[in-house]
Amino acid sequence: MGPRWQYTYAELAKGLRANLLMTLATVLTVMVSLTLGGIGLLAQRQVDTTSELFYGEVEVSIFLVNDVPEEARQSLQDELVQNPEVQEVTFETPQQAYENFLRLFRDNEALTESVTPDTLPASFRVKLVDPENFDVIESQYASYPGVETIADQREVLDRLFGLLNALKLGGWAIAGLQLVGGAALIANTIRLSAFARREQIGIMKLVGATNWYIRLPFILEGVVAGLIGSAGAIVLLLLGEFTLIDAVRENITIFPLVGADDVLAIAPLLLLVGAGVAALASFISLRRFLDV
Amino acid sequence: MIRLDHVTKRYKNKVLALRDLSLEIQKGEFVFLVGSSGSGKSTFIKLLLKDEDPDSGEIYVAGKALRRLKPWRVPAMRRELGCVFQDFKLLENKTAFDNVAFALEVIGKPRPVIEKTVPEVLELVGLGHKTDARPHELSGGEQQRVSIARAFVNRPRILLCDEPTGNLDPTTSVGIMKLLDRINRTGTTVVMATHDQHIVDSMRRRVIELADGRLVRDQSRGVYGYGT
Repeated sequence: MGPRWQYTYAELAKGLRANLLMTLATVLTVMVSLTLGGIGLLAQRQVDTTSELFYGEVEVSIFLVNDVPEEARQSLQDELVQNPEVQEVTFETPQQAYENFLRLFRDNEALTESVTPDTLPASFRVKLVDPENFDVIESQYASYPGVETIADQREVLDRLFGLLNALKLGGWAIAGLQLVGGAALIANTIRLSAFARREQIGIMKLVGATNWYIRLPFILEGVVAGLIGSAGAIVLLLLGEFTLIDAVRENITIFPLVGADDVLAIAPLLLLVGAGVAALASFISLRRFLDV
Repeated sequence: MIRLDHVTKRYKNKVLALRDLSLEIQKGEFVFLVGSSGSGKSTFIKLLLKDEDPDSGEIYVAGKALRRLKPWRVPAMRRELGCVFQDFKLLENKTAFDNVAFALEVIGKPRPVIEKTVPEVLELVGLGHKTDARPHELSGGEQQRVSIARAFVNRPRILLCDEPTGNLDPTTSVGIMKLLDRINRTGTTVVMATHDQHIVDSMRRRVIELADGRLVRDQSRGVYGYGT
């Protein structure tokens, strides 16, 4: 390690120590901001994995009344097959429905034990050319003989996705505001730090130290605060994952929930944002001070 | 070594600090810059350091046209200049050695070079025995010697001095002037802004006088002023 780095490290440590309180405020702000931003990212990942898993399989279900006459069932099937809106039709007998049910809820004995094949209705599982056209199908077949109800299974997921999207957007909006606050705090800390050492900076400029050499300790000071804040956010997200999500996971078995590996997957991005915003804020704050 | 071509500098508050100033200073010269307060002496030094830019005209320092100098080349240009000020500008928490070493550290000189050069230059300015003293343990004259050592340690081609004896008593000032004269004899160009009539009169070097930002006198082997 040459004298070049020795100076940079010494100044960096000095700055962090001298501005302990401001650094703490910065770290906490960045931490809260990136935790919220991280929650938004995790919500996004939840939407992605869930929809990948389900949207392909989701269909419109046309449930039939019990003991529907075979002719009515057959004519409905023929019409569905000829309907240009329909991509694929399969008939599901009560017995098949029961088997599917057992498979989906295999982890939930209380549920599987309470169901028998005859409590489940027969149904057509219809895959549409355009899933958005559910209304067309519903209006065409709702009053058809033998039809009990028509259900768009996307509705259930859409409600979940709506919630997750709200969580995501809300998280990002607040995270954005917090991040601006964090950047302002960093800029202010760095300005104070530079002001406290203005004599030294003046001499460095006079003797011909390069601008980057002068800036580096200050920018690193901001970046260290930003990185500590990001790391704190990652720890918070992991804690949340291990407490909240793991508790919910026991009750939701249909689809996988975001896990610790998802938190770790977004960790580099959080670190990058924390460090990047801090570096930028420090740089802008110094530009006026160094006057170059 | 230094050339000004029709340099005009106006500050933002409309004060005209320098008006159409043209002059040339050769390598190895010792030049006194005199004039009353506000005559433009400090502006002149700031322009040479590219701390300020002129509104018109061109300035050449050590072969470089300052106006066309890219910002990232400014530090390299400043390494050709040493600066000494009335208030010494030493770092209070550093010893004499560290203050001088600082100037080398921050331009990336390796430690062995620093360990060798700093004691040499402190010896040159007559402070070989006080390398570990901090500024508050030194007299004004000694502090100014540290500041000169710092300005000279990188062997600049030009030494700019802004009222270097302004805070010192006459006896101490003579010592400082002897030191600057020695440095000048090593081939370093010295430009010194001063109010000290006694020093200018006794040294008999080139005198450039500014008044209201204009060059009113340029005299080799001059004195401080005619009637004063």
